Amino acid sequence: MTRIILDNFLRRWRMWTLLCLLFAAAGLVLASERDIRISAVVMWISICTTGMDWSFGWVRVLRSLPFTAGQIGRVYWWLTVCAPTLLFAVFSAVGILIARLAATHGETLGTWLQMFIAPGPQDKFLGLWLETVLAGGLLSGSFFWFVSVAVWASVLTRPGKTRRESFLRQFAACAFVIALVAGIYFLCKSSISSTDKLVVAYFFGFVFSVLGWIRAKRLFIESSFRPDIARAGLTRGKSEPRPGYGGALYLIVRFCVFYLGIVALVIALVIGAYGIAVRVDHGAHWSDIVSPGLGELQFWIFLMCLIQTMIMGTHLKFLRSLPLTSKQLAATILCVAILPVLIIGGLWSSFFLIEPGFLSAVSILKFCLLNLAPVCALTTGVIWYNEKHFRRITGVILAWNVSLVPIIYQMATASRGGLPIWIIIAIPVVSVFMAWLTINRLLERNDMTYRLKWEMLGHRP
Amino acid sequence: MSANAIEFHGLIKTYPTFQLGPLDLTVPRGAIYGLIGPNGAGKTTAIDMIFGMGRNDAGTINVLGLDHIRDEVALKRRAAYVSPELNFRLWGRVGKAIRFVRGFYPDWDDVYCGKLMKAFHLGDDERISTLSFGAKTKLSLLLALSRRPEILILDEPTTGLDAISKQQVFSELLQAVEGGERTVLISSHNLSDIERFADHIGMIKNGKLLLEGRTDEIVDRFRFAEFFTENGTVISSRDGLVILRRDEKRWHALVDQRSETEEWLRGHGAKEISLTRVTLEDLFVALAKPEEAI
Repeated sequence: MTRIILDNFLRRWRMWTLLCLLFAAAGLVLASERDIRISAVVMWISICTTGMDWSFGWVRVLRSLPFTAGQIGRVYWWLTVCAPTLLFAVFSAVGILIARLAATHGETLGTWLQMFIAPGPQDKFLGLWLETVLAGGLLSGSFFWFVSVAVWASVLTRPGKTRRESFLRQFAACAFVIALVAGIYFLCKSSISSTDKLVVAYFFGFVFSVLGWIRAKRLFIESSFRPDIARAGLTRGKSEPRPGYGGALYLIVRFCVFYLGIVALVIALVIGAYGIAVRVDHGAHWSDIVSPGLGELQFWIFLMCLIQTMIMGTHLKFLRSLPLTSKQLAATILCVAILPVLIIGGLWSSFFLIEPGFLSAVSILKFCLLNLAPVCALTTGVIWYNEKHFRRITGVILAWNVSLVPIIYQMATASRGGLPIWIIIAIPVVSVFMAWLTINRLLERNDMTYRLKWEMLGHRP
Repeated sequence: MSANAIEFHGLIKTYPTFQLGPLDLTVPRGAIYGLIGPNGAGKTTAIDMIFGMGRNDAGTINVLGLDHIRDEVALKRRAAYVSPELNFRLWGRVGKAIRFVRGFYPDWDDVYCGKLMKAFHLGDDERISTLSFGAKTKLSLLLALSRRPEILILDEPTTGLDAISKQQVFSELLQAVEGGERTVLISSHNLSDIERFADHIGMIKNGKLLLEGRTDEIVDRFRFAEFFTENGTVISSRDGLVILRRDEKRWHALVDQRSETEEWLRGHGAKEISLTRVTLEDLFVALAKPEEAI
């Protein structure tokens, strides 16, 4: 077991180093912004990255080693929950300390020490640190349980024997999401005291973490499950092709509907859970209620773009064998990523055009147009594939961060007019053109684009 | 109109540790052409290049007289690609994948598609993720055959198929090429299948074409030779002769009958030369074996 853990640390030392830096950065931010969402985002990134081996077929390799399912499941739990939590505890402390040190620069050592060790209010180091670590650990444990329960493993990848069973599974997943929304609503409700909320959140976090630990073994068994077995040689449905249009348009429409569906659901959830709970009580305007959705949208646009392009990236060999030129295929891939952003931007600004008015609508539209640059960077990055994983991933993250600069600048200077309109139009136009050229070249010249990548989503040959 | 369906002329693709080519390969129209070679020989690279997955550094590829770069779309309309590496999960269900692919081909044959779905036991409502590896290959073949392509290019199509499924796949392939209008290029490690079904073969090793021609002629051209020499006689591999094994005075070799090697061996002290027929697999093992192992 220790060998498996050590192997992971040695193989993925760069990833662990980056995570440590991320934890320290989170500590820096948490020192001034005491927001549990920072811990949530950090731990979510952590579980996604540490869980990568799971989708690379690691689980099937481990199955052949002389360990029980329980042992392997718990090693996985250790690597995705326990190790990141411990590192989070250490490096967030470093981050908080650095922030404190910077804040108290020039003050006497005695004053600083007093701030550091003084008991009492939570804004002193120990209180803040304990709260951060506890929240981080419980969130990590809960995320593990959430993933293991598993919308992914049980509901989506494992089909039901009948359509009814599949429907029931999906219904159960929806019910779970609704319960989650209800939980967020509860946490946002202003009439409940923050101490009560914290106690309830920690209680559920603890329960979910324990459930995650218990489910670790089951998760391993389910991940080793080959869905082929479920087929049992029976043919389902008619043995004749379905009517309807096909081709590249079908692909674009299908992706857009999926993308828009998810984003619409998120907007509905945010407005439902956050907006109503926080704003309606105070009799706010409806545009104030939907505004928080805009911030959340940003995250979901990138996440969906990443997921969609990754899925598409695993099918490039097949797509390239179809009668499309590399230019057409590059355009199709970009359309799939860009169109939903434009549709969402259009709809969102239309709402704001009705109320509060033209200026707000233009502001939203600018925001969505600037979003196209990071979406293009992300899409190109996912299609780009070579054997130098670390260099590639670092390059993509850097390009993505650079492409985010105009949005950040626009948000920071919106009250003073922000970027000139010609720049706001030029940035997406240039980004889309550059992305199209690059993807076209990758499809045309780089045969690595078509190889190996299908392993990324845990496809098992 | 060219008499050949596929022509590779001086094709070169260079990687840091491997070079494919210069490769000159000719697939006659109406043939079932088996492309064989050891792992990493460059078969998939060569096939992928037909469909524009990577760009050749030099040389040309012509398919039905169409250039693989200039006439990319026209070529892909007339040629179909089947490989276990093709992934269809994106479409969720068999029916949706069929619907998607059909949109690209005006000549798509719905009736034939339905027939193939029955033959391959594939239902339109079936989830692609639940299909076995063999069933996925069948789906890939169904999507390729239903468009009635003039050329069918198959990369390891029988991987993961049981004997019955393999029989089924080849029977459909043979039906598809009936009449001699369609051409099949098939890359496979299953040499007994290639020997049975392919009328032409090409063998690649380390990115170079070793042999090409009609299967029966090639198999007939080579013989296993067993002979004896006096102690101390040294005979090494040369053009038309591959030394396979030596047990003191007794030698085992592969002989190309076109190269008058038998006379050459006698001239170098070989006695009691006996020749026996080879199978394609024997020939492959003898030629594809790394030289240092002989």
